[in-house]
Amino acid sequence: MSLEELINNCKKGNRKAQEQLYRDYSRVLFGVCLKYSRNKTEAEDNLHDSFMTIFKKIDQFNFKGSFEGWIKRITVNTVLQKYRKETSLSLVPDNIEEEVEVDSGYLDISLPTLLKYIQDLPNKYRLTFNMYVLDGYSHSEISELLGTSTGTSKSNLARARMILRDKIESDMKQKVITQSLE
Amino acid sequence: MSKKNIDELFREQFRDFDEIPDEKVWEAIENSLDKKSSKKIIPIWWKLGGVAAALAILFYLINPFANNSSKNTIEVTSTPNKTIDHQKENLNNSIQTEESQYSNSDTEKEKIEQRKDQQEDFKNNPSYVNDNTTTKNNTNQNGAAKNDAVNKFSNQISNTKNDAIVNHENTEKDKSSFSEVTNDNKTDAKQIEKQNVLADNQIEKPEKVSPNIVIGDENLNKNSEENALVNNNEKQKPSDKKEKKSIFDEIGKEEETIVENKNDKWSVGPSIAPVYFNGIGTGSPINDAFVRNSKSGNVNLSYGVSVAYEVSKKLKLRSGVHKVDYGYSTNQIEFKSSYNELSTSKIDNITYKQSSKNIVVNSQVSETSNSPAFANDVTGKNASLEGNLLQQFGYVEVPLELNYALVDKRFGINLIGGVSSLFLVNNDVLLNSGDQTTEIGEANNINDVNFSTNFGFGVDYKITPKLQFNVEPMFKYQLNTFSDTAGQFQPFSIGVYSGISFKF
Repeated sequence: MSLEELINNCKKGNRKAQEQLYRDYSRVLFGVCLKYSRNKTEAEDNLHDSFMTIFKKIDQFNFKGSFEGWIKRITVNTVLQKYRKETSLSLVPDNIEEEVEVDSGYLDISLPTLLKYIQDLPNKYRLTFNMYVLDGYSHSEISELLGTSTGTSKSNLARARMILRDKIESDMKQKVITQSLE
Repeated sequence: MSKKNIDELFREQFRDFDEIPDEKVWEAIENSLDKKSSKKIIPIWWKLGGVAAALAILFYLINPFANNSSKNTIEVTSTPNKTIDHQKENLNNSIQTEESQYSNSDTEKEKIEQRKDQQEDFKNNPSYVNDNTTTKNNTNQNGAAKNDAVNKFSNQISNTKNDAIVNHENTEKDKSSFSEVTNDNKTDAKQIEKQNVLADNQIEKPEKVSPNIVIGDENLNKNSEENALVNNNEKQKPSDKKEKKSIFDEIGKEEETIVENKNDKWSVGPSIAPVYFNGIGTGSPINDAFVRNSKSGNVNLSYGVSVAYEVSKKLKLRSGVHKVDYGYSTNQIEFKSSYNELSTSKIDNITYKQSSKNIVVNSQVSETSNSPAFANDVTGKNASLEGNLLQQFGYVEVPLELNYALVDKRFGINLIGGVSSLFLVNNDVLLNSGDQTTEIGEANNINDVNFSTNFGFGVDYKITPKLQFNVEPMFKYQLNTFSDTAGQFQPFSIGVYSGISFKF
């Protein structure tokens, strides 16, 4: 079954087609959900909600542009809807650093650890970091989607970077200390 | 040590990042999709509701029953013996009087015919004024024309009853002819008067017709007697007039009541009721873990507008729109906050709010508290709170009921039966502990549309013909409130509806 046939069958509400679509795309979308959510359980809830929205709105997909891009956007929007209402500390840091760097020696950090760092970020920092760094959204898009200004978006991003760097560095130092003790 | 941009670090690691989700996610999606497809039924009910509302408006505009009922009232006037309403004794009376009037004119006709004969006799005998005869003939013709129309009403009422009227009318008419006659000859006039009175006697006692005529021919001997009769007739005049007046009054009243009946088909008014909600059976609407818990129904408020259409005098069709809230408590509950929100710790029938996902609810009395629906609090840090689980659901209720009047006096007693469509508008699950209340989410096993069968009785008091006060204790048995309950749980509600209704 081609993707087009699959989508058309989903539009008709065919349960087998819907399951096939889920099997084909749930891995990718679950990746998105894991990055944007605070933990695995929430990511599962968000994946559920995203697929419900996809099946509901699939009628509106008109085969212009990539289907994967379309369902990824739906997923991101679904997650945003959930978290953007929750207020987070929006203190604007005094020292915004445009470029945040870490020692290249820390590059062997495992993916699950990095994912945990992202998930532990406050909501708006996490969303902004994900959108800007990992999914290529611009600040104007982010500010529009989150209902903030581009300035806030930039400061949220900077804050996110600094928190992540601090985490990485403190964890690495801890690791070095334990290693040296051994 | 070389520096690496943190964005690059994450980008590299998360390029093509994906992960296989747990199979339970698909199962949940499938469940939700099933629910969604079943929800598609709702618009049909809304459509039906719309059709019902449209019909109600149409009935109001066209008023199809009104034609039938006006036919009925016409029958009332034409066949007085079949009067539909025993209560309208006044109406009956007026109709009877009317009838007597008809028969009266009938008698008059006979009388007039006889008078004709007499006048022919006068012609045969010498003398008697022609003018008078002509006048009388004219009257006769008019009378005959009138009488044709009412011929079918035969003399149902005894002559004795009618005597007074008959006599009076004769006297009146004869008087008018008198004045003409008197100009010519007073003696003639006297004779005519006497003979007319005698003619009246003939009508009163038809079997004596021929002797009276004889007397008429012989005439003049019984002057005093006849004068007395005339006097009597004149004395009766005032009472006759009164009676006449009252006849027209009654007819007028009757017309008024007919007009009122035509227009007072609809009534509308506000109503309010305390409503007690509970269930038959020992089950729980929330989870099988709570089957053994004690439960209690709550008293809430229902309010709205009732509309009634009077199909017949005894039968009303009622509808309206009411907002009704139901509350139901499951007691002996303990709940606590867990560190991690776990899908497995949730109660299936509750859709949790984002902020309440960490709450774990347990039954204090359940043996199945370690059932898969509940997770033990692994952290053990949180003391649990005791309290109750309160379900609140609000509906918009559209009833369709028949109201049969057992007694329809100033105090009325009615039997009421029907069905209601209930559209869910509010659905909350709350946790209560002492003074604290937390909303944890909403029940997902409550159907958006459900139906109830209603019966009860009503007592009403008519403050004025247009305005009445009513009190109606109603029992409503709900048919499909929950899509999934643990054990047997059939909800019902009891409410005492009181309100005012205005007729228009």
